[in-house]
Amino acid sequence: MKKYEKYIKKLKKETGHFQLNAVTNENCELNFEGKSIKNFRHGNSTDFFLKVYIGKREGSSYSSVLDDNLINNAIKTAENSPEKEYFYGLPKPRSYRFKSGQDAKLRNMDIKDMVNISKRIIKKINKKKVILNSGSLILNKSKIRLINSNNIDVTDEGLNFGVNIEASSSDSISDYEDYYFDNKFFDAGKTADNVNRKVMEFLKASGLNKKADVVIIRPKALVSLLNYGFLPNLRGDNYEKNKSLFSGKMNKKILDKNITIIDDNSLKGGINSEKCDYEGTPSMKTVLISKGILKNVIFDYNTALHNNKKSTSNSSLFGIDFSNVIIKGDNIKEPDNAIIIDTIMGAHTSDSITTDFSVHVQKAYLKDKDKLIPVTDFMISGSVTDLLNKSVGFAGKEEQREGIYTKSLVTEGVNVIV
Amino acid sequence: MNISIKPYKFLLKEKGIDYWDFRFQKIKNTNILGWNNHIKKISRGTKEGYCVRVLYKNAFGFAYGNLNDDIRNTVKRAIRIAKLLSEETSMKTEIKEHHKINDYKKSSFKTDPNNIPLKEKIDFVVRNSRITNKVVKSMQLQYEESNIENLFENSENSLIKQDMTFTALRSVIVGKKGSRTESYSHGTGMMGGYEITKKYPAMYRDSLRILKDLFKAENIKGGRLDVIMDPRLASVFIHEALGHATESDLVLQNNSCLKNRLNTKIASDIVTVYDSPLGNEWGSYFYDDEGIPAGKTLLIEKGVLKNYLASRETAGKSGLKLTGNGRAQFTDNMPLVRMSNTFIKKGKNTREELIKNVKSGVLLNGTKGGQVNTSQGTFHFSAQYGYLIKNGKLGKPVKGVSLSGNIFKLLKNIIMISDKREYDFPGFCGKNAQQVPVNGRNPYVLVKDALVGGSE
Repeated sequence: MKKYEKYIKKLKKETGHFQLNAVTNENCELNFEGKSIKNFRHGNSTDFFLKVYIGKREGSSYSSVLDDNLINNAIKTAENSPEKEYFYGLPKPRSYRFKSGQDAKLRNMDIKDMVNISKRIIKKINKKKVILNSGSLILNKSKIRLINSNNIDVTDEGLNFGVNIEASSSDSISDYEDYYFDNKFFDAGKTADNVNRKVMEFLKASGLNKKADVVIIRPKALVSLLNYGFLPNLRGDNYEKNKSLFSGKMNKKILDKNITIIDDNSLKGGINSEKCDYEGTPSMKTVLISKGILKNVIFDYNTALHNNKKSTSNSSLFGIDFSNVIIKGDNIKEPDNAIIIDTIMGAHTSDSITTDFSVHVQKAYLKDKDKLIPVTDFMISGSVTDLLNKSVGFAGKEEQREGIYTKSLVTEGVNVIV
Repeated sequence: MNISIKPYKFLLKEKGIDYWDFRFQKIKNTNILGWNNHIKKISRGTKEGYCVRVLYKNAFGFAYGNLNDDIRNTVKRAIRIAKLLSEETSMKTEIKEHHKINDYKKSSFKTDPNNIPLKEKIDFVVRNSRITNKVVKSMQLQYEESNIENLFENSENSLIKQDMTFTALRSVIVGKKGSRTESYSHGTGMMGGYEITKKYPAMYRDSLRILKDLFKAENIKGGRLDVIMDPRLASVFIHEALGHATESDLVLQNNSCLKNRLNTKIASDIVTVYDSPLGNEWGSYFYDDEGIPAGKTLLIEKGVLKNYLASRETAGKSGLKLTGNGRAQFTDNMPLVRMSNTFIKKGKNTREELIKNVKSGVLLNGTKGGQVNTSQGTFHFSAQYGYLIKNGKLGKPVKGVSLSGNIFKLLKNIIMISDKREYDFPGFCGKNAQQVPVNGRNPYVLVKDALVGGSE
C-alpha cells in the first residue's frame, strides 16, 4: 500500500485528474494432444495502466512497474498532446453493491486438478474412430485495482476457466472444434462429449444441394456474426463519430420489433459481471434495443456526458466495450424444415458498419422434421441487420458464448450459396 | 538489458533436465490514434517480461513472470512443473539441437523514431486525420512504433540479443452518401523507422479513390467465377490457404491436410512459394524465439510441396530441419510454429494480361482477413472491393465479395501470376490465442473456377 501512496501523492501534485488501473493476473494453461498431456504454462503478471489529465490534455502510459517513469511518460504525453475535443472529469466514488462471484472450486484449482480433468477429456475423445488433435484447459485469476483522483479506490477480482478441444476422425474426413469459458466451474467433459458426437455425425456429411427459406443459426455461429458484424454499431464512440449504421437514430425503429438487446455487467452469475467498469461506474443493466427501437448505446463516462447521457458502465482498459450481452425475442418452436448453421468460418471479415457478411459454413444440418442430415462446406451471406429484421423468432436453449447470451435465431434473412 | 539467467543457471544443472531456455523481452510502444482532426488516444508504454522453459525427461514446464517477480522462483516453478508433468505424460518430447550462437543484431532505419519529438508525431496524426472531402464523414489514422529488445539464452550456451524497431500506419475512412455508408481500411508497416510517414500521401489518395468507387459498387450474388486476386488478397490467400497447413505442429497433430504430402504435387506448375523472415518486412526478425537464425524456407517449388515450417520441438519429434519459425507473442507464451513473411514467386505476365484472359470473372482487391480449417483444407477470405471482368475488360465495381473453397483445388486452378510484387500487407496472425506480426508482398494471381460469395 505504501508503494501506491508515494505515487498517488505525486500524481495528485502534478496532474489535474488521473486514473490508475493495476491489473494482476495468474494464468495457468494445460495443453494436451493425442492420448497425452503435452505441457503446462504458468505465470504471474502485473501491469499498470495510467491516464493523466492536465486541463483537457490527456496522456496515458503503461508499464509492468509502478515507478516515476510510468508517471513522467503519461505527463509528457499529456503536455505534448492537443486538447481533447471534450473532457468532463472522472467519476466520483459510488457504492458498489454488486459482489463478483467467486467460485471456490475454481479459486482453489491447481495443476493436479487440471491434469485430472485433461485425462478425463483424453479418455472421452480417443475412442472409436475419433482422435484428439489438440486441446487446452485455461484458468485465469485476476485482480484489478482502480484508483482515481476523485478518491475512488476499488478492487475487483475475477475468475475465468475455459476448455478448447479439436478432434478429427482417424481418416481425417470429419473434424470438429468446440470451446467453452465461464467464471464458475463446469464439466469440461460435456464439451468433449459434444466434440466426439459431432465428429462422428459429420463423418456422414455431404455437400448442400438444396436451399431453404428458413435458416436456424445456433449461438456458436450467431455470436461471431454479432460480435464482428453488428455490435460495434452500438458503441457510443462509433455512434457519435458517424461510424455506426445507427448514428442519429436514437429512439427510432432500427430493427424488427421482435428484437431486444441488453448489456448487463450486473447480471447474476454473468461471465463478464463485475463490481464496476474500469472507470469506477457501478455495474448496471442497459437496454440498448427494445422491441426494435434504439434506446441507448454503450458509453464510458466522458462519451456519455458529451452525448447528454449517463455512463452505462462500459469503460474497458482500451476504450468502450460490451460486458454481458443478452439477445431476446419471441420464443418459438424450431420449424420442421430449415438449414441449421452450427459452425462458420470468416465472421471476422464482416463489415462492422454496413453489417454485410459472407462466410463459409463448416458444419450445418438439413432439418427435415425430426431428421437432421449433416451438411458441410457452403456459404451464407447477407447483412446482420437483415438476419435480425427477418427473424421469425428464437428457439432452443439459451447459451452463453463469448459473453453473449442467446438462443438460436430462426431467420429468413440469409442468402445460401450452394 | 540488465537481466540474465546466469546467477540461476546452477538450478538448471539438475539431472534429468535435457534442455532449457530463457527469454527476456522489453517492448516500448508508442501508439497515436487520430480521429476527425482530433487525438482519440495516445498510448505510450513499456512491457517487460521473462520466461523459462525446461525440458525434464520428456516434459516441458514453462513459467513466466515480470520484473515484480523473483527469477529464481520462476526457474524453480518451471522445473517443478516439468517434473510433475514428466510423470503424467506419455508423450516423447525431444528437442532439435542447434550449435551455440553468440550474436547481437540491430535493425536499421533511415530516420530513428527516437529522434523525432513526440509533438511532431502527434501533429502528423492530427494533420492527416482531417476530413478533406465532403463524402468523408470519419477519418481515422493510427501511427504505431515499437522497439523490441530480445534476449535469449539456453543450455547450448547461446546468448543472442536483438534490437528491432517496427513502424506502421493504419487508416480507416468512412463515407456517407444519402442512407449509404461505406468504409475502407488501409495499412502499411515495416521493420524500419519514421520514414514510413512518407508513404501516407499515397495511402490517403488510394483510400479516397477506393471509397468513391465503393459508392458505385454493387453486391453480387456469388457463384463459380474466374478470380484475379490483387497482391493484398493474394497475401492473405497464400498465408491462410497454404501457410497454416505447412506448420508442422498442425501436421503432427493430424490437423493438416498437407500431412504425408511432402514431395507431392499440390499446386499448378507455375506456383512457387516461400516463407522468409529476412529483410525489413513487418513480419521480419533475425532469430526466432528459440534462438534459431531466420532463413528462407521453400514451401512449394513448381507446384510440389517441399518443406514444412518447424520449431525445435516439432523438428525433434519428426526429424524435420529447423526453419527458424518458432515464435511467441511475448514472454507469457510458449513458442509455436508460425509463418513470418510469405511470398509467391513472380510470374511472367502483366496485370493487364491477366485481366485480358478472363471472359467472365472478378478482380478482387484488398482484404478483410481470412480463416482456414487446416484439417479439412477449407478456407475463407474476404475482399474489400472489386471489379467485374467481362471479355477481358474491367467493369463495374463490386463489394461484399469473399472467396471460399478447398486449398488443393484452388492451388491447382492458378493459371497466371503477374510479373510484379506490389504492396505489403502488414497484419497480425492469431493461433492458440497468440498474435504475431506477419506480412506478404505478392503479385496478382489468376484462379479459374473459384467459389465466390456475394452478399446480394
